[in-house]
Amino acid sequence: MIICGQCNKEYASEKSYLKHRCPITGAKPTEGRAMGVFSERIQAKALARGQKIAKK
Amino acid sequence: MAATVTIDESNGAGETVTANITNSNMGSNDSANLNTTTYPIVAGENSFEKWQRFNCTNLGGSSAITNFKVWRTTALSGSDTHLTNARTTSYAGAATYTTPTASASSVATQTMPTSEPASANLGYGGTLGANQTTTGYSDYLVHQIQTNAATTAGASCTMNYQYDEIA
Repeated sequence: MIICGQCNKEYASEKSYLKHRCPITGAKPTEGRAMGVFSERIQAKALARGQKIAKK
Repeated sequence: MAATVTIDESNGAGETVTANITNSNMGSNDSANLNTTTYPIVAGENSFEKWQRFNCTNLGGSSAITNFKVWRTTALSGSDTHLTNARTTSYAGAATYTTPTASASSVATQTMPTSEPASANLGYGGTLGANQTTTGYSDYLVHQIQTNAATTAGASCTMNYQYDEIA
């Protein structure tokens, strides 16, 4: 069983969990907004750090 | 687009996964997003272990995520300790899930870093710094607070979870 930690709805499988649109985040778990209000900043920072690795 | 990564927590004997948790509150109950007022840790006792993982639900066009790092900022109360399986050297590989315990953890045995580690301290597929090129989970992060009998109530700390993303 998998529970969405945001809306507390229960799903029998990860597949069905990934398909739901969470009423709290307004996003599916596969969409960036699922990461919360700072999602864009989190993603930008992760990519910037990754770019440094790729350059090495 | 970029990758979507959440922190998921596992609880219970049958491993119930709570995805995209809202906090990492440590307490006297094996549950995700727990209320510390309802489940305080008695002085001198341990919190239940936390078994958590990074979950990449979508790579968003990137080729990989990597370099999983975890650390805590801000101080604990008194002589309490915060222990983890995360480490930059002598990493024991991917921990196999077992029901979280409030006994002294046999998996979380090293002090949680209090600043960003210089390199990955949590692995993917059992290896530190490995590139995760598909959706799915990192290795388990296991951590536990062990309190001292003379501790004081009310410590509030910040857990940091970081990954790098390769476009």
